Amino acid sequence: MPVSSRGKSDTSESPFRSFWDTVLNERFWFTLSAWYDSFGMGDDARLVQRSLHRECQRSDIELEKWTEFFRELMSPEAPADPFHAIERVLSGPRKARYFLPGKIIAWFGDVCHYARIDRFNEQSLRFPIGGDTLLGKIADAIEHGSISGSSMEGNSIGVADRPLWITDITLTEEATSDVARNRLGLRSLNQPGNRLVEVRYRAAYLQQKGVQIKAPTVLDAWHDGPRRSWIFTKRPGTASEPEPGRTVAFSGDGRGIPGVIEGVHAPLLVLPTEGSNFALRVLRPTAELPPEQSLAGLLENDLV
Amino acid sequence: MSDLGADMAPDIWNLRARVKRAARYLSPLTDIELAHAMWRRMTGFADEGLPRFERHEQGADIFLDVVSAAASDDEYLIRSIRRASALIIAEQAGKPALVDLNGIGEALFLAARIQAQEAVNPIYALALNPEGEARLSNGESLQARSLRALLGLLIAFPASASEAHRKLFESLMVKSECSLTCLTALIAIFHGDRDRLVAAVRKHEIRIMDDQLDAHLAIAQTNSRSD
Repeated sequence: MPVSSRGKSDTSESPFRSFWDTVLNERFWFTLSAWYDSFGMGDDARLVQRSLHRECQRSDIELEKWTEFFRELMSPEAPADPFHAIERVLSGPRKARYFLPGKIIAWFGDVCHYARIDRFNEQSLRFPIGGDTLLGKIADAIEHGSISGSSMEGNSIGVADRPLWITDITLTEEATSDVARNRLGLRSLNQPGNRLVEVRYRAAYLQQKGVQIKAPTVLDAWHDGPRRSWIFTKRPGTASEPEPGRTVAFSGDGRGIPGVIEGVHAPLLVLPTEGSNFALRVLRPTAELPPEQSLAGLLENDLV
Repeated sequence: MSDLGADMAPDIWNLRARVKRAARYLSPLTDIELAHAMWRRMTGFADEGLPRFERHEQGADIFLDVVSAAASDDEYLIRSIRRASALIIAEQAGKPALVDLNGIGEALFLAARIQAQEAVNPIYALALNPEGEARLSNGESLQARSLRALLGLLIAFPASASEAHRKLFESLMVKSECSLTCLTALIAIFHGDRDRLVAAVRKHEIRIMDDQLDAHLAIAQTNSRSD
């Protein structure tokens, strides 16, 4: 693997190079390889590069959008910083073109989205914003059913121009936010006392609304902000059909283990009378800091 | 780096050091410097002294974590972050043209989450800004976000509620997006007559569901600060 070892990556033999040899000519490759190399040699950069390789080895992304993205990326005006270059394309006039570029995936059973309770209230419930006492009351009200999906009516789940990340029902029996956080690999849920809310809905409801569930791609991760998203780890392996992604769960040894499956879809406006499609559940607060992880450990682990 | 201890190792992925390192960076800053650093973060810019953004992390989250982690041993830093959040909102409220709406939305979220009583008046001023109809990324208007933050603070600090606030909530209760928040404030904080207020709103053909208003009022029944 060109980037799994700690030594210098060999771009000439990489899946990234092989892939682009088939769709771009040598002149383009010269510019593209400069962009690729400009990530540098740090473990974080190599993790980005590994995800690029994997994206090229899989069939999850619409080829036309993927190639167009790189053609734009290679424009003469592109900034030298690789992340700035990505940001420029994704926020440019054709940004909608690159939103949710993954292929539609088959999804069996219900869909679950997990969010911090304070952010879920901020974005989707829209009760007053307050401190831990107020959030505790919201959590109690969700548990007792006085706050339910109907409280989301008229509001959206997810925010504009950002993919909404979802998983299946694997975690629906988990009672604590610690376990869900660790399986989802939510490194931003960093302190004890944080609560996750589970929002569960039917894939058929999405279908009725014309919302498609798509395979997550590196472009989806970069839509969350390129600099923020290098943690995104593209699912390893090859497949002729698009597949869901897979989170990297925290492990005690810092190398990560395969987590739960994940997909993405567009943010949704919950219309009046649609609230009953959403079941809310609040998990017990985190009691501990997340287990430690290391970039180097993750990079050396080809299973994640 | 040996004085940092094992959990302060400079690995950029070191989660256990994340908040401690941020707190150590923020502690010596003046209120103005702190406000500047916070605003940069809340508008999406990286700062060498603060940890990298994690996946799904929003701009205000690291400051929430710092306040949460510092609760028992650094009251000064907590107060500084509260003052700085109020400073950010005050500065933005005075601008004729609001540039970074989502950054302002983050500042409002932070101020209310960390119970920055100092932010009550700046948030009130922001709610009056002529650009209040502008939309945040979750589709909410800046004015509606301001009212939710203001109400959250008034629930924690009811003694800060003023006649000006009451008039503000009364004037905006007939905007459908703001109705539930305003009714909750007028009933729970200002002890207005529920039936009369709801009838006044419904006259404008705004749908008010009794169970939704009940839920909002139940959340607002916090009459003393305990966070």
